[in-house]
Amino acid sequence: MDSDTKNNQNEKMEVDTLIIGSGVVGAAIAQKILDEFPKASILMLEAGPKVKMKDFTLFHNYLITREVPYKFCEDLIYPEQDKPGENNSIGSTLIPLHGSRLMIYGGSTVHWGGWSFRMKPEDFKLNSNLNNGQISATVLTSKTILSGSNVSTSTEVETGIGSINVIDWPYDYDTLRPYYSEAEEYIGVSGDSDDNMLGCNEKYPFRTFPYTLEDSLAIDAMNKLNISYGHMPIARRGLSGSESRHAPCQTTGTCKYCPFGARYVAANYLDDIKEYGNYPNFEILTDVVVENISMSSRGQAEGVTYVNKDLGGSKQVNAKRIIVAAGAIESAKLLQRSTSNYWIKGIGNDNDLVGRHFITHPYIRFGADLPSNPKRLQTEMDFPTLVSRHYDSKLEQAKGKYILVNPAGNVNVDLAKAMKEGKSPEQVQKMLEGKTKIEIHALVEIFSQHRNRVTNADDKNHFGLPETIVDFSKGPNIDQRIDEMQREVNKIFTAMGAKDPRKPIVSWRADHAACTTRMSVSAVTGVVDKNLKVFEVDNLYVCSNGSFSSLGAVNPTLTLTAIALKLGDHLIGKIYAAQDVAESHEA
Amino acid sequence: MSEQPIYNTETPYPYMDKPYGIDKEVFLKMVDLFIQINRFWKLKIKELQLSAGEIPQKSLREIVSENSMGYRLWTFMNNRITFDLSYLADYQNASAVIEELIANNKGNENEAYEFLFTDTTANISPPATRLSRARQKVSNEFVSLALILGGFEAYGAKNYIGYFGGSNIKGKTPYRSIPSTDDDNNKTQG
Repeated sequence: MDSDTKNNQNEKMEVDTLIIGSGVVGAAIAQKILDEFPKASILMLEAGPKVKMKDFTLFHNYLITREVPYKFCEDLIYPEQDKPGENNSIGSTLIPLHGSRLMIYGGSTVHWGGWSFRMKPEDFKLNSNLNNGQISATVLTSKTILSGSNVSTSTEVETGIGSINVIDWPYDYDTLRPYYSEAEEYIGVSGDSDDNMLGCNEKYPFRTFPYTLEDSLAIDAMNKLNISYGHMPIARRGLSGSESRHAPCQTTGTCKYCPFGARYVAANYLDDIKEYGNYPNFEILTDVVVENISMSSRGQAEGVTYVNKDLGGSKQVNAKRIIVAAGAIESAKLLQRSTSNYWIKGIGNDNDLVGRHFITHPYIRFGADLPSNPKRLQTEMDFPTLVSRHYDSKLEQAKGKYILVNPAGNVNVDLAKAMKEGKSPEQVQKMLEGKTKIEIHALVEIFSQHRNRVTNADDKNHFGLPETIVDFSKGPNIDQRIDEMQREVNKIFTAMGAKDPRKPIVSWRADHAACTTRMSVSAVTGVVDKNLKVFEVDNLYVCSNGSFSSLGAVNPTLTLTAIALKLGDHLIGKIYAAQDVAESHEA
Repeated sequence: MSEQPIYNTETPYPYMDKPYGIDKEVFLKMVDLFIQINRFWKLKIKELQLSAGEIPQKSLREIVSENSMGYRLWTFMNNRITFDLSYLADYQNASAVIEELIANNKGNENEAYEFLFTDTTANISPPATRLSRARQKVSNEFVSLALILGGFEAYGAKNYIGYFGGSNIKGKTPYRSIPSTDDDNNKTQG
């Protein structure tokens, strides 16, 4: 592949590995393959543009306005009376896409918060645990599938939390454990190495951030109530004894646009591959929209057709292997619209599972009033340092596990705003020490339902991708679960000395969209196998949150990185095997 | 394979690559404004005072290069102009408005600046008067900058959004932390 070839719209390109999407999955897999095969032929296609990172003009504008320079890479809001908008949410629960993801070089890591949790061992056995008497349920349908030595059960049941259809992961926590370690190293996590989620030989690469003074109220309260808590594992690089092109966090508190690149952003890592690596056959195209995946047979993906938004026109690129890494929504939609005589309903969609089982985490903000703030607590960091996984336990699994986070800026004090309003220094001091609002945030696990799904719309969005139709209705008793959570949080507020707890603000924004191409042991219950390969297709992989079998209660990106690195190993094995075959043929 | 990256570098708003020149007189008036913000809100920003007696003989480059806070202010202003050229006019406007306010207050600079900082009509939205543009596009942004450059310490904190607090080093945590957790109980050391 060379530039002449790329610029010739009539000529087909041929590459070994084609990656669709330039987020953490694409960056991690590309790096992993290139580390092993520096001359590997890899093409990465990204629908969005490239926006400057680590630029001080943009940084200063962000400081003043809080406007990030990549805002235009979000979905537009849904259509309103006076605004055309884009996408559609047709279920009984509105799932905002606006703000949930980015279509940009670097993917959603450009705006992510960096919370880097491991899922817990019980999360990998959701279906088994729910069927082991933890919940009372009426079985609607039950499917048990034998696949080789694996047995997979998918049970659709009517429970206290609604009609659900959940499965186990095709492997357990210990299978993923080494990749969790590798992922923490790769994205640069600062964390507490005494965390019991880590094995005895595992350590976070960087020192944990101590609890902020803002955490003191929550810590005192949780101590009184015997609620366990710990340090937030966070993808912010620390100081290192080894050389790195990535700067350590300077606690600037401007993480959404870090001037140093201390928070993991795939765009910075891809830039490094391009600028510093000697990888002559690695290429990235931005502003290109993949229209569909073509098949040369039912079991072989041939390549993709994409539109270059600058040059116009469609172009075909063929590949030996294709990795779809375009997020849970776009990855599923791409499979759906890749119809052919081999796959009439879209690739891997004979059982109408692609795009189904869609879930996300509702993000819940609990609030109350603090009568006074004698320590003049205020925002000193832009990320939380305290999290409680007390309720993220096997005991809570049947009802929906959840985590509690003491958010950065949980004490609502805005010095700059007060000064700009013309308040005198004495008034500002009084405001600081006086009554203020306080918050605790939560994520709760949601279980998949067959009826919830995402699909392609006919219209195109402002990036040229088909708009998205989200059809999601929350389970009937989710509200009851949130009420239970509120009762627990109110105990914490009371122990803090906070009063007048407010009704929680619940956002169903699709930040953690997942399970749309879920991983299973059979095409009857999932779309991809344990190696993320689409069932019955030898060379097509889907790696996104959509490939999660279930989501657990925590942010998915570390787990996503882990499964991407695992896939990287699998692909390296495949490449070596292909070389062996080629050499044996030559011999 | 091409030598040049073939992706397109885009921003939602194109901005100037080369800084436009800031007039020395305007810049010094902006330094005055910054100093007055520091005085009015008792911020105690260090290294702020320029050596007034030497200023007439010095070029803007010399003034900026010899004073770290002046350099930061100059950099900030240039970045704002680079981002949006209208800031060049806004800084000129703010300089003129401040001159007029001082004249209106019979030369009492402190009163003139306090009017600029506290007058409620200067916060009308959108800023459609010369006074409101001076307040919102310049003075208010300098308030944010003053806090970011260390002014927040007057209000009890150790770190602030935008401040370069420093790295997470054992015993030197760059924000107010809980002492018992600031001791490193972590076996890894960056």
